[in-house]
Formats: sequence, structure tokens, C-alpha cells
Amino acid sequence: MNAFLSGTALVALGAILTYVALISFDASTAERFGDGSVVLLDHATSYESDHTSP
Amino acid sequence: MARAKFLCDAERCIECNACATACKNEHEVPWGLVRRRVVTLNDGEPGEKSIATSCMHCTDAPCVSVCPTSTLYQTDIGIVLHDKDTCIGCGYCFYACPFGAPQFPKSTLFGSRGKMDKCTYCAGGPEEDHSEAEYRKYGTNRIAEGKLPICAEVCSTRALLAGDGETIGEIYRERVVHRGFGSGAWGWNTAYYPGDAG
Amino acid sequence: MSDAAGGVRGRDFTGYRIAGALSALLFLVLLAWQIVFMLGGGDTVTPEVAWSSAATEGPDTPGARTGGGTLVAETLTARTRLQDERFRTGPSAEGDVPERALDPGTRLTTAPLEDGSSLTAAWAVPDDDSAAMMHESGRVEGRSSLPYANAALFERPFARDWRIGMSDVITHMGALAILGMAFLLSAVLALRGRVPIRRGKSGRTVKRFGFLERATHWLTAISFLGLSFTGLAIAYGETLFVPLGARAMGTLGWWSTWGHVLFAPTFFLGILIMAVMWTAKNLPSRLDAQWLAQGGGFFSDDGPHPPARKFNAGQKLIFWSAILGGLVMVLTGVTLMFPFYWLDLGGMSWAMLIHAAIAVLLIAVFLAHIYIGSVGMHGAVHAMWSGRVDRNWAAEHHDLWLKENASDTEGAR
Ligand code: HEM
Repeated sequence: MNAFLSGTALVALGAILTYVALISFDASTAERFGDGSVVLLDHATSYESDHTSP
Repeated sequence: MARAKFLCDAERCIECNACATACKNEHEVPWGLVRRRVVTLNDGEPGEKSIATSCMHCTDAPCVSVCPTSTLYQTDIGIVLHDKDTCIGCGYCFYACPFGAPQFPKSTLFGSRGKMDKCTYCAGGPEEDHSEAEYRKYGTNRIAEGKLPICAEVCSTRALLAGDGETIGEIYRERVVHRGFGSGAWGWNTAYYPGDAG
Repeated sequence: MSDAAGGVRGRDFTGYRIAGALSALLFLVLLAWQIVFMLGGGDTVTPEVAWSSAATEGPDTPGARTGGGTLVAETLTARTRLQDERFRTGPSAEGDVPERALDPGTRLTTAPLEDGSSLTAAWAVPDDDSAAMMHESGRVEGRSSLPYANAALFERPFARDWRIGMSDVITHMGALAILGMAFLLSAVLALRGRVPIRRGKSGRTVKRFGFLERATHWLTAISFLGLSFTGLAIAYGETLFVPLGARAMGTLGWWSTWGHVLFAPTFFLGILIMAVMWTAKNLPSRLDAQWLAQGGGFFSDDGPHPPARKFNAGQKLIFWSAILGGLVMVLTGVTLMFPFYWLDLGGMSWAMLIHAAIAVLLIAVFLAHIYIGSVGMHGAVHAMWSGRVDRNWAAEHHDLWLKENASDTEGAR
């Protein structure tokens, strides 16, 4: 019982840490080419973002 | 019955990228995504050819088949469309596409890929025609106005042909007969005649 | 055996057997449905939406939507003609614009289509002219001025094979394996009941798994279940969530794609610790052949169980499925999370196929494990729950292990 709860708690902790890691490394496809080979203008990088006209 | 197709006459394409540019502009395709691109074969060598490519709107479209959420669907003139509200960004269509059409706004796979984007044959999406929502997610809907994809209609050498497959086939064949050479309809076998390919 | 006649029998667990029968029936129906669906040719993609023309006068006119498909075809074909030679369709003055090609009042709309299968069938066959002008199918890669991975790839017919592997083979085989396993397990429960402790519980227990062993087991198990459920939701979302509607399907699927990867690190950690803890005890031995030959005593109450140490051959198979299968899953999964980092598109396609194929197999295998660890065998679950098992259970299933440990457990409780 205690072993089960410890296991479950660890899974939950792992999931939260992974989520945080994913969010912080989340890069748009455009930004991935941010080494200077692509010039990024002030323009939405995703259809999901609420972009008004550029 | 019309069957919408794309045909790029590789002997005429001059790699001007007007199709790709017009497409980007017409639909305000965000940075990092391209719905149409030009591929050059044998670059700088004799026999160099360029081909403009995008989603080909396949017969028995593999992307539609593998989509686990039926986000992708086909219309009765062959156009393959997608519904961004149900897309989960799993990337199956990306692996199933023979032409590299599906694009994702984010660069990793599970969880953070974002919603798939691809050529709509200028036919918008499931939203109401010409609505704000449709434009923001899919770009303009030219088919609803009886117009063909902008990429083909702007092509200055008329290399890229769009519209009824039989008609563009006729146009192309007549051209080939007239000038005496042609490398054929690139991608058609894989895209439109699945049983025939291989 | 003196107690072959008397003692507790699997058949005596009547309640469990009724539940097993009901569940067997349910899975039989699902299995039949899956087989009908699979043989019904549901894999060819057919159009689901039809275009029609709202008449030029305006979309509000009643009955204006008559012309339907023909009008659409005429309009688009006329427009297509505009791309013909310039001396024919302009912009030179002599060219005449095809009728309807430039009509500003044209409005085409869409509506759901009942059955588009005849369209797909008709499209798939080229006429002689088209067949003659096609460039043959094949992988074509060139150059592109775009910086994106894969932009230079023009055509890749392998994608069609990938689709067959994914939607025609793995999806169906996975459903068959999982539903089939569920049916078999239910049927076993219905027919033979639980695997009993023949001599009944002795009331005296013996320590079987320590805290670390149990915590690791549950860490791995919960992670595995999380990965399975989200994975199944991704792979079979269309079927599973259909009653909830397209929107709910999209939302649940979105959570699943996000959730799927969250369980991966703890799963990896779990199988690593398990490998360190248990590999030595899971190496094959001569006893295993005998155990397997006797089916582990799983199907019958008569006769003694084959001898076993801490892990019997069946458990060893489970252990190695978890370790080896798990490693394949982690390796392919991480590959897929980082597209193009070390594999090209072809390699990633194979990674995806392997990931999906092994996943459905592992789920079927662990369905059996979960069954035996819980309802399938009387007294088993305590091994992982409290860490202590009844002495009679141990004597029947792990006699050699019990003897080896008898000295240090005899005195305890
Ligand atoms: C959630 C339901 C589950 C239950 C009730 C359960 C129960 C058990 C029990 C009772 C044992 C000990 C058997 C013994 O006394 O010898 C065990 C062992 C084990 N379990 Fe599970 N388990 C579950 C899920 C899983 C999952 C999902 C995995 C895979 C990742 C897993 C992997 C293992 C392994 C590798 C062992 C050791 C080898 C063996 O005994 O077969 N378990 N489990």
C-alpha cells in the first residue's frame, strides 16, 4: 500500500517535471532555424496564436 | 465530375518561386510553415529540372487513412482538407505523406507539435465559407468562388497547372506533342493511382 | 497427491466465474465487430463531403442548389481551361474566355456526402492517356532553397507502404491481439475459475518483495498504464471517442498526445531499476523448460505445480518483455520526440511502425500479467501490495524459493 502510493507519487512528480521541461524547450519551427539562416520578422509563428494583421 | 489535381510541367518550371510566395501571401501562412515549395533536381547539371510541389490531394489519401481523429477528410472533387479543431498534432499524416505536405508549427513530436497545416487547394476548411475563423486557420477559400489555387493561377510560365485532372492532362499532352518532349506528370502515379504504383 | 481430490478448486469461485463469462461475452462481441470491420474494406479512403453550386442569383434562392456536382464540374473545368495556351484562352485579344470561367457570382458550397466509395474507385484507375504521360513512381530527392529538414524531398512512395503498415496492419492486428487476449482471459476465468490455493490459506505469511521492489513495480506499472491509455487514445481515438463527438475527440486526443510523453521518464526509470534488481533472478534455467512444458499448472487444479524459484518461467517472460520491450519503446519514442536529430524521415517512419507494433503487443502481454496478478490467481496480489504472501501460496507456486528462504522466515510471524 505504501509502496503503491510512493510509486504513484513518483509518477506524478515525473509527469509534472516532464511537462515543465517540455514547455520550456518548446520551440516553434521558425525559431528552430534561429541560427541566422532565417530572418525572423515580427510575425506570428503559429496559426494558433491570436495574430491580428502583422 | 471534375477531379482536382496538380500537375507541374518540369520542362517549364523556372524555379521562380512565385507559386510559393503567392501561397504564403494569400493565406498568410505563418513563419516556419510552407504549403508549397519548389524542388530542383540535378541542380547545376545538365538536365536540371524544377518541380513545384505541395499536397497533391491523393486518391485513397494515406494521410486521411492514418489520421486517428478523422481530422483529415476528402471532398468529392478529390481535395483533401483538415479540421484544426480536432487535430492532435500526432504526426501520423507526416509519415504517411509521399510528398512531405503536412507541416507543424512546433518542432518536436508528441505534445508540442501543434496543429497540422497543409495546402487546402485554396478551399479553406470546415468553417463557414469566407468567415474570419476560416481565414485565420486555413487562409482564403477561392474554390468557393469558383477560382482555382492561386499558385497555379499566378504561374507565369504556366508550368504549374491546377484544376480538373482530365483537362490539365489534355493541356499538358498537347504541349508535349507540340514541343516534342516532356518528362511526364511527376508524382501522379504515387498520388492518384495507388493500385497502379510500385 | 492426496489433496488432488479435496482442497480448494478454481471452479468454486462462482462469482468470479460469472463475471468472467459476462466479460468473455462482451469481448467476443467486440472481437466479432472488429473482424467484420476489418474484412469490410473500411480502409480505403472515400470522400465525405460534396461540393454543390449555389446558383448565380444568390445563395438564398430556394432550389438554387440544384445543378449540384455537374455545375461545379463545369465551373471548375471552365476555369481550368484558362491555363491552356494563351492564343486560345487569353490574355491575347483573340482568345475567348471559356464560359463561366470568370463569372463573379459563382458560389460553391459543401455538404456531407453519404457514400463516396464509387468516386475513389473511379479515380484510382487511369485512362490510357493519363497512364501514358505519367512519370514513374519512385523516390525523388533534389535541392531546395528552404532551410527546413526534408524540404528537398519531392516524392517518397514508401509513405504509401507506411500507411498500409500503420492503418491496415498494425491497427487491426493490435485490436485483434488486445481484444483476443481479453477474451481468452475472461474465458479462462469463466471455465476454470481462479487459480486457487489448493490447501487454503495457512494464515502464516512470508516476506516476498521488499519496499524498493514494490515501489519500483508500481512506479513502472502506473507509468505503463498511463502510456497505454494515452497511446491507445491516440491510436484508436477515432473509434473509442466516436460517441462523444468530433470536438470531444479532438480535446481528449490533444490531452493524450500531451499526456503520453509525461509518463515516459518514470517508465524508463522503473525498467532500469527493475533490470538492476531482478535480472540475476530472471536468467533462464533448466527448471523453466519443465515449467513451460507443464503450462505452469495454470489450466488445471490437478497435480502439483511445476517447481520454481523466486520467478517461474512465465514471470521471467513477463520480466523480459518489460525490460526488452520497454527499452525498444523508450528508444523509438525518444527518437520520435526529436524529429531529424539522428534519423532521417525513412528511419523515423520505421521507428514509428516499431513503436506502434511493439506497443500493442506489450499491452496484450501485460493484460495477461495484470489478470494473473489480480483476479486470475488467489493470493497473488498481496506479493506486490503488502509484500507478504501466504506460506501455502508460496509452497504451491514457488516451492524452491520458499525452501531457500525457509530459514530466515520460519521464526517470523
Ligand atoms: C496494475 C495492475 C498490476 C498488478 C495487479 C500487478 C501485480 C503483480 C504482482 C502480484 C506481481 C508479483 C508476482 C509474484 O508474486 O511473483 C507482479 C510482478 C511483476 N510485475 Fe506487475 N502488476 C500490474 C501491472 C504491471 C505492469 C503494467 C507491468 C509492466 C510494466 C508490471 C511488471 C511486473 C514485473 C516485471 C514483475 C516481476 C515479474 C513477474 O512477477 O511476473 N506489472 N505484478
